Amino acid sequence: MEKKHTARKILEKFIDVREAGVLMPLLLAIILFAAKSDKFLSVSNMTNVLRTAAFTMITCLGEAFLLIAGSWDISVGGVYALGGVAASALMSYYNVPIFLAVLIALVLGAVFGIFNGFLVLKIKVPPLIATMGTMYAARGLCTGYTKGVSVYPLPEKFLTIGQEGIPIGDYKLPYVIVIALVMAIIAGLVLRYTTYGRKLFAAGGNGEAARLAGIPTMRIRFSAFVLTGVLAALTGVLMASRVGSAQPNIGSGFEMTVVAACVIGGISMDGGAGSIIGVVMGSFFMAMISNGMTLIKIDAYWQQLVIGLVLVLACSLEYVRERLRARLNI
Amino acid sequence: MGKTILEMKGVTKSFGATKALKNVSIDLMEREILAICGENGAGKSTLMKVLSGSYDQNSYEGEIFVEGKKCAFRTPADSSAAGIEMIYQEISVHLDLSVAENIFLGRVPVRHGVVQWRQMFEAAKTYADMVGLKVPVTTHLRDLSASQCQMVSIARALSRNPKILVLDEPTSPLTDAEVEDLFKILFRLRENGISCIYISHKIKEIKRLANRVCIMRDGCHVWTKPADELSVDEIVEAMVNRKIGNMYPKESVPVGEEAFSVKNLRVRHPYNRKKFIVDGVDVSVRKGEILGLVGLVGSGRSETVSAIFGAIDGSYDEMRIEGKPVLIRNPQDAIQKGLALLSEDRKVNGFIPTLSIARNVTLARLDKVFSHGLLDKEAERGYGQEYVRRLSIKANSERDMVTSLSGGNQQKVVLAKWLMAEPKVLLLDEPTRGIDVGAKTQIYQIMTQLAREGMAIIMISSELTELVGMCDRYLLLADGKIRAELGREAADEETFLRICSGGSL
Repeated sequence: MEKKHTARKILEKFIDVREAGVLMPLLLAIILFAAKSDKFLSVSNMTNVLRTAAFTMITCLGEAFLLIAGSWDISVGGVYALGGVAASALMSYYNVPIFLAVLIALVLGAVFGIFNGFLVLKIKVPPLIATMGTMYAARGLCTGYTKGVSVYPLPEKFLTIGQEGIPIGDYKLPYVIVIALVMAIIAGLVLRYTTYGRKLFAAGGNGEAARLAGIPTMRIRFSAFVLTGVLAALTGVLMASRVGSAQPNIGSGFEMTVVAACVIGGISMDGGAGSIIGVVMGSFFMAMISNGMTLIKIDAYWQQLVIGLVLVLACSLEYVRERLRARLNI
Repeated sequence: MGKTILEMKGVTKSFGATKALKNVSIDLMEREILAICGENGAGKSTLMKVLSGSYDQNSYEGEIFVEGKKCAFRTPADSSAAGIEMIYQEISVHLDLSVAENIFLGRVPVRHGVVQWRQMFEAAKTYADMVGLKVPVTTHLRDLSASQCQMVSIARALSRNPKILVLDEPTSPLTDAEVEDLFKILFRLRENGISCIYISHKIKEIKRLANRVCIMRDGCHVWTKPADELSVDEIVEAMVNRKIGNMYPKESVPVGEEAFSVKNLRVRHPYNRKKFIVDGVDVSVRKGEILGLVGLVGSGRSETVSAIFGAIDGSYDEMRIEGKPVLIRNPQDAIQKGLALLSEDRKVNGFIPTLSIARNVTLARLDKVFSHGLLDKEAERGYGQEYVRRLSIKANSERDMVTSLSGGNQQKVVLAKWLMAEPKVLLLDEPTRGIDVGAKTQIYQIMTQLAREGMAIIMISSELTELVGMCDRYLLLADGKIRAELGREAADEETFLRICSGGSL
């Protein structure tokens, strides 16, 4: 009897936690990969996974804010490529100082965010369509400007951001991981402890009720669009630094990875709910699953199937949560 | 007239513990327009949903006979097949389709998988002519007026060759001239052998239109009588015949200086830009006074308070709060200047379902729980607990989700949010809709308390007894204009209904 009670409590708790959708598959996958491959948990492999996750995560932070505020943006794939190309072209072709080149790339990301916000919030174009359009536009700018050719060489100093790290003994913790985690912590604090965070939740939870309570719903969503654009461009800049060149065709499917990481991490597609810890886990999961499957020699051609199934399962939990609660009489 | 075409016998329908319909029987003759009247919540719409097949026949008791044959409706399609068509209050048409496509929605004529456009246009033309719609059938509905859209819905209903047409509050979006057109159509249909059930609050309309009038009250059928033997007063009396208990803890408190005034408030109709849904309304309310804004659905009462609060677009000559002229462009301005609006539909725009009680309560005054932009958890918990206690909100903790509460307690959370905003003028739009008697009484007590403390309150309600019980003064609205102003001593439900449905003092 007592035991059943505890089991029930754990179950109740589990249903209550939004991030449960990712936590369970994440742990299962770690156990599976670690058991099947001794390389998986090695420091160098984990560094790899974390670094891959870091790039996704940075854009995810913006996307998460936007989803919580009740909208979304799939132009991030295009803006990501554009950010890298713009910064690299400025440095490589025009000898613009690193700092200025990066700044201009970020401003370009912001411009895309502003345009997305304008289309979705003012003109009322559905976000999927509006940002699909701007995604193509950003890609077009990249390929049109570069004629599909990679942009390089890039200044040595610029490359250190993406390729170097903080030395800890013999080990180097890549700067990219540090940047992503610091940004995640800041985003988490903003979301939980600031007026801005509360307004994001209110705007996404019920836009009209928030508006009547004096919260400028549209302005809040607009700011999240701009933030998403800036962070997507920043991700592109960091990736160019990591690779050593800007690839105009980079990041096809990146937008889907970003949205999937957010949703797997418990950010509601309906707005008004989610957390940064979920986003961190979601990004990590997306990076780890392909890494782990490669290590245990699951054919790369099958990997998408697994990712798809996990996505569907994790999201189903959100939608059956209420029904589960009712069924269990919680 | 002669044969009975429809009979509903002994219909009883419950929702949980409450009986929405108690053993209701009605009948409808051939070539007859039967009006069904009753206050909100009397059961009219539930009865029509039973008739339309919206409720499965297993979910209620009672029998339905069409032309003497017993019917078992499980879905709206069954009801439609038996010759019953509904036209709802909200105009349900597709704005981006043509007239013809709307008329044949879901039944577009097809041969070998190819749409027979010409055949469809020709058939649509005959139905459009029947309702007197004089636009090409290829016109998109977005380009039509509200009344023309309604004609399309009627044409659509007619295209299914109904024997019985049910219209639920069809005139609320229409102007007077458009109402005349609608009546002409209905009279013509009656001549052509189609019977109508017509649901409306507007008693003057009913008197002109109906052959017989059926009164419903509290889920019961009261009586059905021929319309020409009835006076407007008789109908109203039958509708509101209910004891006013001692639910209302109204106190007369000394009324102070003017707290709020607006002159010549105007709001355009959302579907019909040529019409003003609020058309030159002046409102003024004093400290400690509870002002009742009385009107039927569609009279412009909700739009009046929404426009005052800046929640919808409106224009006015002058607005003053405590004598000082103010400009209110949006709810933010309104809250800052000392207004609060408890809006009509709490589920749609009252609370944030994904936030806790405490976070909903503090939403309109985030400045009180965030110091320098940073959350003060103690303050949040403190305010949450304070208001849960003050309004006796039934919850385990202030951290519970609003969605886990009952309707009455949800409403108290919304009210708490506005009390925390410390307004000078509180606008209440249907503050007690859909909540139980206990919670209602509590909200009345809070209102009395606030008035005693000198707050000015403007209240809207569809429950006339509640208005009679709680207010000091009344503005009676019909068609966007103020028809009369009454003091507490002159107010009673019959006067309200008579004036608001178009009669005179």
